Amino acid sequence: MNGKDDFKIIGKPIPRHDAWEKAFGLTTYAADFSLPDMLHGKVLRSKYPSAKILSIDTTKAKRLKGVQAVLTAKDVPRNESVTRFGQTHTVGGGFEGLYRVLADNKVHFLGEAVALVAADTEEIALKALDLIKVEYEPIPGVFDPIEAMNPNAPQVQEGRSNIITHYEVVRGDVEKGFSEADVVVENTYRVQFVDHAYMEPESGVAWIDENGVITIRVSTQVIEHFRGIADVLNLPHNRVRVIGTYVGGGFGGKEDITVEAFLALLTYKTGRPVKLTYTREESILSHSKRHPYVMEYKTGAKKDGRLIALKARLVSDAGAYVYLSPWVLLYSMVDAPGPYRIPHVRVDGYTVLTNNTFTSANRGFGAPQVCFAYESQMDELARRLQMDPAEIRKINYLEKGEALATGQVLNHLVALKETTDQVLQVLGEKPLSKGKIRIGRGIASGMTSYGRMIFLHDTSRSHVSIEMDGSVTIRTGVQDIGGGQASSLCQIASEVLGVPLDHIKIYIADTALTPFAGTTTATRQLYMSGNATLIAAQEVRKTLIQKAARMMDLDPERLNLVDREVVDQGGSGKNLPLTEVIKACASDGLPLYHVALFKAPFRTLTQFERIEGDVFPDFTFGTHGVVVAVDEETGKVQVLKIVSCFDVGRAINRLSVEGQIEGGAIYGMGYALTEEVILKEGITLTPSFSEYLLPTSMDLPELETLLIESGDGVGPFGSKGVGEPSVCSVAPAIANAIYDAVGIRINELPLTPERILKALRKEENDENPLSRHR
Amino acid sequence: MKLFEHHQVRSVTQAIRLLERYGGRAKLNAGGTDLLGLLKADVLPEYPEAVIDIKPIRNLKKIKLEKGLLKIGALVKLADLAESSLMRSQYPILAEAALRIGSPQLRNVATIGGNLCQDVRCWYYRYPCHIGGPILCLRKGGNTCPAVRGDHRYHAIMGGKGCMAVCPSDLATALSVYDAQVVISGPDGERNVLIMDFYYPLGYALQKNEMVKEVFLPPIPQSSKQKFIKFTLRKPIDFALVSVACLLGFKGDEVADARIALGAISPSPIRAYGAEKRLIGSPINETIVHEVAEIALRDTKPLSGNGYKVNIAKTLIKRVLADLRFNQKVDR
Ligand SMILES: Cc1cc2nc3c(=O)[nH]c(=O)nc-3n(C[C@H](O)[C@H](O)[C@H](O)COP(=O)(O)OP(=O)(O)OC[C@H]3O[C@@H](n4cnc5c(N)ncnc54)[C@H](O)[C@@H]3O)c2cc1C
Ligand code: SF4
Repeated sequence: MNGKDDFKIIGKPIPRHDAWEKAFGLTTYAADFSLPDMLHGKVLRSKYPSAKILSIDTTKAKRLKGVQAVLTAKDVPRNESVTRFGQTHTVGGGFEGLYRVLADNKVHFLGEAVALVAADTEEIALKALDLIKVEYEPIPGVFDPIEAMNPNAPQVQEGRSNIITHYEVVRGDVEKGFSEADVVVENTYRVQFVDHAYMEPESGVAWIDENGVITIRVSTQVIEHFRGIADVLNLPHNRVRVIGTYVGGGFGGKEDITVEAFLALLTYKTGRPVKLTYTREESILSHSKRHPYVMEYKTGAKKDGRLIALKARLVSDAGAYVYLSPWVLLYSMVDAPGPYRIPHVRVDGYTVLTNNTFTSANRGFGAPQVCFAYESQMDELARRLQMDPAEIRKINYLEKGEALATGQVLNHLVALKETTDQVLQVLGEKPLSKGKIRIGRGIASGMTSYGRMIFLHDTSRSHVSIEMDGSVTIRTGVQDIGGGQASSLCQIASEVLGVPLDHIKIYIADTALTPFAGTTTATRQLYMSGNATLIAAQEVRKTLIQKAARMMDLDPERLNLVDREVVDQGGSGKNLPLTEVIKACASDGLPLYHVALFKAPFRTLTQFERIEGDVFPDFTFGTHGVVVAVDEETGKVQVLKIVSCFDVGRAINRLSVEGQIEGGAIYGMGYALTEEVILKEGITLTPSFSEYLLPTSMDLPELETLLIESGDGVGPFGSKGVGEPSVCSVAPAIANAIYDAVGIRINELPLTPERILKALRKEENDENPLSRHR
Repeated sequence: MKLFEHHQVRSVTQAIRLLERYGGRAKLNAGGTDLLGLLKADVLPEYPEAVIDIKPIRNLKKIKLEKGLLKIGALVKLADLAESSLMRSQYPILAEAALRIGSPQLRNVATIGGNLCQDVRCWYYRYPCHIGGPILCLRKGGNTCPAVRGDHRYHAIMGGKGCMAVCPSDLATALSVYDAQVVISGPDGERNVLIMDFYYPLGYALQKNEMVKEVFLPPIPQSSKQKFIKFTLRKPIDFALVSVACLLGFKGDEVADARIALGAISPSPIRAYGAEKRLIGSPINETIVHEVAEIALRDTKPLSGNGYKVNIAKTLIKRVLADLRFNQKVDR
């Protein structure tokens, strides 16, 4: 079972078990589920981005016929708590954020939840919202993170500085480094708010079951918020049960609590089932966004292209609540120098509260932002040194055994030279430009961790059992958010136990019935729950093989499980049906199941400002190459082709891996070109998909996906995570291609016609004729 | 959506009668593709008391030629405009403009009347009411236009009188080139309004008790060349950031008839009469093209953040002219 060719199921492009169901519209997503006597919930949201609440009058709303509950902060048993985002270990040091269910005396962003309504119909609930009278006193807010850092700026959350955290990464002596540099490139990069834009908005149904347990069936990436929800209600944790549905897209947006606490409260107060589904506008306006960053980068290199020093200052806009902002910033800190060998580094990072919509996890979690900066810097350096962009990267790529600026040693292969070579090869020759349509090519490489930060002490559990007829059941608290999370676990069990896929049934995401597997975030599920399932399946296998060895009177080493038989690989020609062995095990009272616990590496953090040493279990590395066409006269960019190459360690399901990487490429393309949640003075101007411009199927370029399988990851069978890494370097590759096409560099996303035209005009007026068209 | 009364009518007269009865508190529903969105997000300054479904009015669904005039009923679907062979051969700009709107699903239900009377897309105006309430502006009973000092990247670069929202209708741009007239029905009969005059600073040339019955197009000059270009950020679905429609008639190499309309740059479609004049009598060459583009955009007054639209509009004009010249050569 070691050589790649020996795999029966692993690595094969197998359609997922849930694919047909979804294609036929049979999957019961959160909003597709209803119960008899069910009420409809609605949320009253704040009118202002920054205001005091003077009074809330709910009398009229309560009197409306058909209204069953109107709740405000004072009705919430515990309105404020500390959220651990599904982790059980407390890190401390400001790492856990405040979770406030409903605004009480102040609103901090436009769209903050102020009151809840449950009514017999959605229409009545909406009418009730209109009848709630809230008296506000608008107070000055702050909408720019740099301004918010000023001690005199309005304070967003009472009693705390707007600066949530400051981190630093220090290696060597940057000033000394710059004094030795032959060229120094200095730029400020800005990236925007973006939305997750999942097809399925936040949604769930809650009810009280026959044992009095508050049960919430919800679209979530984290069923383990059940503890936090129980805390909100002041109930024992085992009185709240969360059942995760198949999720119609998560991308980090369903990592924080969405509708769960609202549903729990409404059901608890009315005793009746309640459904709550956000409208698209509500989802865009009031739920988390990707962090905008301002990134000052100064990079120094020697004449031969070797990097020598990096100084960076990152400021991220956390919006009005802390949520995952410190975590996201920490990712950015580790990734800020990129996958490069730089002897002298100093990175300072700040995440800052403003009265904007709050920001939190979004696919890539702080990695794509800094990648846009460091990969634009690399191309700038290449230009200044008149080197080939691929060449300068290759000189500087980290290698296995070398350390990041934090000191974390990379214990696994860094295949960046290979990914870049393969991308260049497939990109081929650059097509010729035609008239005003200029063609450009660009590449960018990136690093993204997979698995949670090791000071979160992350664990996952999986229960694998084999039934009397040889069918297999997996139970694990994994949330399947459309990445094939559940399907990959079935493949692992199938491989280990020699049982065909259609004989495997998996139960997922139920806090009452499935062992806790942690969050489907941080590109951790295959790594963590894949390993847990692998161990569990291997334990069951061991029991079966040992029993079979005694029954067959053969050395267990010689036996393998293939297609529901125990097969002697030693050449005796003997085999035994698996069911015989199972029967014998059962008679002997041997365990035909195993619950495995997989632990990531653990580390306890004592120092919260300077980030040093190991932070992540491992990283995924890859390169994007793109071809763009830039219209010099309108500034419009069309991406013609995206080539992605990643070392995925091992593709457990080739179709799923390619699907993730293609999806990541388009996610990154939208980030680069059209997607932006535009906030002006705290008001979202892009609350629907007519303003928030996602790439459509017709905007898709030609996509090529190349996989390297080094087998050197920490996931099962040497796999690595790809869900988030696949987004990382798309935007800088596009920016670099635009430079290649028209000789201008845009340091701000998205790369709109407006910005490109402006930069082109500036270039035209520039006196230096050399600055354009290398 | 909130509650409203619903009526179905079978004739224009019935529709007008109901409009009169509700005195401005009723809305016509043609295809509903704009109206339903407005009602769901509670965008309108006043929520209508009634919705009048005009779909059953039979005689508004035809495209017909009458005495040289092309008449298009208000309920003709965009898909029909895009697919009609008459349109494609005689009025290709209108057909192309219809084809570039939305998606097939939308074009199968959206009507020309609804397209002309659709509400502006300004994001302040369209802000969904349930979250924080409406953003008051001139169009919604407020005193100022927040777009002027806010984010107006898609707003008007000329012709704004208080409200800076652009005319969202591509069909209006296309119709301008044809000097089309909008036939308006009301209690006192019918009247015609030139399409360029159909848009008012805060609305349309429609009284509360009037509706659009049809649109008619005078005959087009023989053997003219026509083209419509729409600039959008994405390939499908988007509204125009700028659009240009152009019709040229040639005498030999020289332009004998020229009509240029610009869309999405002003609260109403704009005919570039000055530029047209400059074209007539000259052959199309690079100098002229450049000059014409400058003249066409001469009177623009962009806001602080939308000057780039001027550049895009100029480019589109140059391209449309170059393209028509090229086609003319090929044709002969
Ligand atoms: C995603 C999307 C993209 C779009 N892109 C474009 C685009 O690129 N270009 C473009 O031009 N349009 C675009 N549209 C707008 C679309 O063309 C209009 O929604 C459609 O044409 C309206 O037609 P309807 O019949 O559905 O009108 P309805 O929604 O029924 O009506 C629209 C308005 O007109 C009024 N009305 C309808 N008929 C009449 C009449 N006969 N007399 C008086 N008033 C009337 C209604 O009361 C209502 O206020 C887009 C719409 C969507 C949803
Ligand atoms: S442009 Fe018009 S619709 Fe938009 S905010 Fe200004 S006044 Fe209102």
